[in-house]
Amino acid sequence: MLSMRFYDLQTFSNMGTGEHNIAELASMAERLGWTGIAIADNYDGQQKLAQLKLGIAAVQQQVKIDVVPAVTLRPNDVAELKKQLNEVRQSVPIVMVAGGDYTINRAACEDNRVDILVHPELNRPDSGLDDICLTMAAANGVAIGISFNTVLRAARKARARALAHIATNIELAAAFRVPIVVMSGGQSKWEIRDPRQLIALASILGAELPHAFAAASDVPFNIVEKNKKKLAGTLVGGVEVIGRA
Amino acid sequence: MLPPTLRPRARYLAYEVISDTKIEFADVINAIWFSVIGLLGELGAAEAHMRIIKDSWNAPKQLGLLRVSHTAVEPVRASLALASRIGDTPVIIRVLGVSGTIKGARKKFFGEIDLGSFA
Repeated sequence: MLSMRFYDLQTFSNMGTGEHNIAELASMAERLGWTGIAIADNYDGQQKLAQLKLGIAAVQQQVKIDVVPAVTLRPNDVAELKKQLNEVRQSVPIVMVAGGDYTINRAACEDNRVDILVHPELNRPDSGLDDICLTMAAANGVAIGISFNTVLRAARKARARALAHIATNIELAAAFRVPIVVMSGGQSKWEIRDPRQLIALASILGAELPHAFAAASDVPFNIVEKNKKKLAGTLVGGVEVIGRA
Repeated sequence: MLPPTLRPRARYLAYEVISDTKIEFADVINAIWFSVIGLLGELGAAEAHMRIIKDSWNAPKQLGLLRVSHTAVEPVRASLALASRIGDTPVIIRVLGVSGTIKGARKKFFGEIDLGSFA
C-alpha cells in the first residue's frame, strides 16, 4: 500500500549554495504538498554541518512539515569519498553522493554507507551506470536519485540528452530492482516542484506509475526513518530494538 | 458535434501560477504552450489536444483550467513543471488536480459553490 507521505530529499539552502533560507524552502515545500524535505547542502566540513542542523532544529518549531538534515558529497576521487563518508555517516540521516564521474558512481554503489547516488548521468555521454554498478547498488541498498534540477537547468539538446539518460537509468533500475528516488534538487524555492509533477516526469520517462509514486513517497520516507532509527541506536544491524527489559 | 463514443475523452486540469508578482494571463498562456511544446514537441502537443480555457482565469488567485486529452494528463503535468520563469519573474506552475468536467474542477479546486446545490 503506497503512503501519501511525500519527501523531497534534495534542496539547497543559503547556508550552502542555495538562494533561500531553510524557512522559505520549508514554507514553499509545504505549500506544494510535501510532507517533508531534506536540506542537503554540499558537504563543507563538520562545523558547517553542525550549523545546518541547528538551523533546521530552529525552523522545525515553526513549520508543520518534517525538515531533515542531509548532506551531498561531491568528492574529487574515491579516497576523498571514503574519507567524507567516515566523517558524515554518523551525523546525518541522509547521505547522498553527486554522481557523474564513473569511478565515483561505482564507488558509491559499492558502499553501503551511501543512501542515494544522485544524477549519475550528469555531463556524461552515457547514463553513468552499468550492470556492475546496479548489482552492487541493489546489494548495498543504494538508491538512484533523479534530480529534476538537472532537467530544469538544461535546454534543448542538453535537456533531451539528460531525459534520455534518466529514462535509461529508470529502466535499468527496474531491471536490477534498485529503488529510485525523485527529488527537486532545487537551489532556490522556485526550483522546488509539486510531488505529483515529479511523479509525472518519472512516469513519462518509463517508470511504472506505482514505482513512480513510491519514488517520491515510500522510498525516501523509508530511507529517512531507517537512518533516524540507526542514529538513535534503535536499529542495529537490521534488528530493531522496541523495548528494553 | 461527434457522438459521445467518438468524442475525445477530455480531462480538465486546474492549475495555479505561484509567483511573487502578478502575472498577465497572456503571458501565462505563452509560458504554458512554450513548456508543453518544449517537452513534448509539436507533435506531442498536438496529440495532447490541449486547450487553455480562457474564461476560467482567476486573476487575483492566479488559477485557471486547461483541457487535455485523457492520455496526455501526465505528460502535460510534467511539462508544466518545466516552466521556471515568465519574463523575469520566477514562477511555479502546479496542477491542483484533474476533473472530468469544468464545473467539477471549479467546485473541487477553485472552491466555487453552486448556489443551486442549496435548493
